[in-house]
Amino acid sequence: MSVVPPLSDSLADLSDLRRFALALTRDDRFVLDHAAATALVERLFRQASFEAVDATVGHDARGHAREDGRVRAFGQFVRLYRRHVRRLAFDEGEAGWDESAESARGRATAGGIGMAAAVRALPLELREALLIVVLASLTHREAASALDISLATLVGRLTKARERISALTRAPTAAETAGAAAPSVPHLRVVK
Amino acid sequence: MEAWRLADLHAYVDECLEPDERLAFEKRMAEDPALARRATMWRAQNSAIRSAFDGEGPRAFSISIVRHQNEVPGKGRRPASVGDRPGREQLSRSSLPGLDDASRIAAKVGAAGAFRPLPSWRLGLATVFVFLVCVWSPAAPVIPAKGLGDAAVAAFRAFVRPGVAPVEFATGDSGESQEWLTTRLLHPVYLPATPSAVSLLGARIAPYPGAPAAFLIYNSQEKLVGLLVRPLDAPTTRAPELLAADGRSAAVWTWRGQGFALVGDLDAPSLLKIANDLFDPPAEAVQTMLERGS
Repeated sequence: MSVVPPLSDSLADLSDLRRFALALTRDDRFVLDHAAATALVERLFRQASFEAVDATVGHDARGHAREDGRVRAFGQFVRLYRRHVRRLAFDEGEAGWDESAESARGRATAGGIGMAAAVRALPLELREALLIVVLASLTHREAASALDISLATLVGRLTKARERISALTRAPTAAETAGAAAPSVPHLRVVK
Repeated sequence: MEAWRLADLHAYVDECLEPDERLAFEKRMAEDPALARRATMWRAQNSAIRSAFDGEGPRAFSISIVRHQNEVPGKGRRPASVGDRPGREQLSRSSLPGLDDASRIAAKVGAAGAFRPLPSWRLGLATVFVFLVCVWSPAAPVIPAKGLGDAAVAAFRAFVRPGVAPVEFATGDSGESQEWLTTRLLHPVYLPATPSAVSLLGARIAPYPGAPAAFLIYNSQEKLVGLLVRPLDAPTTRAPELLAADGRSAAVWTWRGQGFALVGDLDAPSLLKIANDLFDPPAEAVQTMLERGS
């Protein structure tokens, strides 16, 4: 029987990966609740092999190897999930990346949404960047490596994600509320 | 804001700065209230995100890291470092020892007999193979029965357990379930009439390789059974048959261009009986469904 070695050295890393994976896969559309996210993550985990760090290597090398293994595991999960989303978009004939952003924007102007909903409303590329840094506590360099992007791209995505979340979660101003309540006037032009 | 300042701000907020860099950045923040305000806001945002998703970690599930015994070696296995190709040594340490022998023999045969005329028995074998390919060319599409069964078992294990609501849309009416699933999945879902031996509890979306699938929960003799429904590429209708899927029994059949897999806590004959009832419902169940207009 081929068995992937137990992750005795990096169990904490795996629990971080689980938390990150569950947060990433909830999309308010096909994966609505914790149970559905759990089922999807379990399936993606089965496709991956998160290998344990070899205990025979020296102390420093082991430390580096553990870090590398952690980044590799996150990177592997991200790639599997991106492939899943691409297939989903392909099957449904639609873009799967920004699907919930519009409705979230609508709800945001109606009165602000919760933090979890705001994160789920982000496009996948922004969501994964934010969650891998904030939830999984990877350093920026590790996160960029796991997501297979440059450090500058990561910083750009973090900026966009944080600004969008601020916009989604803040309470609407009086002017915005009035604007939303007022009927929109169509811009018609009399043509002679 | 300049790119380097923004990068430092994110690094400060995410605690990626070294102690001396951190002190230097805090000095800069003391001189720039806008920068400090932004840092405070983003740090608060980080805390809010952590607390919003914190409940999801401890309620962790048991992920089996043990690979399936029937997994094809080399297909699911990944090299130790992503991006690297597995070396010759790694390949030779395959879990199937026969594979090495076979490849060595093939290499020898290939090298030695590259330009020799083929012996008659080989020609005979090739003729038989070509004949079989011509006769058995798959006119009917292949039905992923094993995949359906495995997905149904995985969904049943994930959703039918204590503390988890098994359905997202609770209804005893299969017409309503059909409508809800069609709306959610963006493609038509056709559900069979509910036989009298079982009662429908509701529906939910379940993961399936590549795309989501419909999953229905029925009650049968105080035990729950789950029915996974997934559209296939125009398969022919096929009656239910039992197969082993991930340590359980599953009854799998096709109907109206869809694949069905029924799993549950019942024994295999009971599952097959319910599957047969769903596949070929009694006349009164069909009549009731027609009267409801579904």
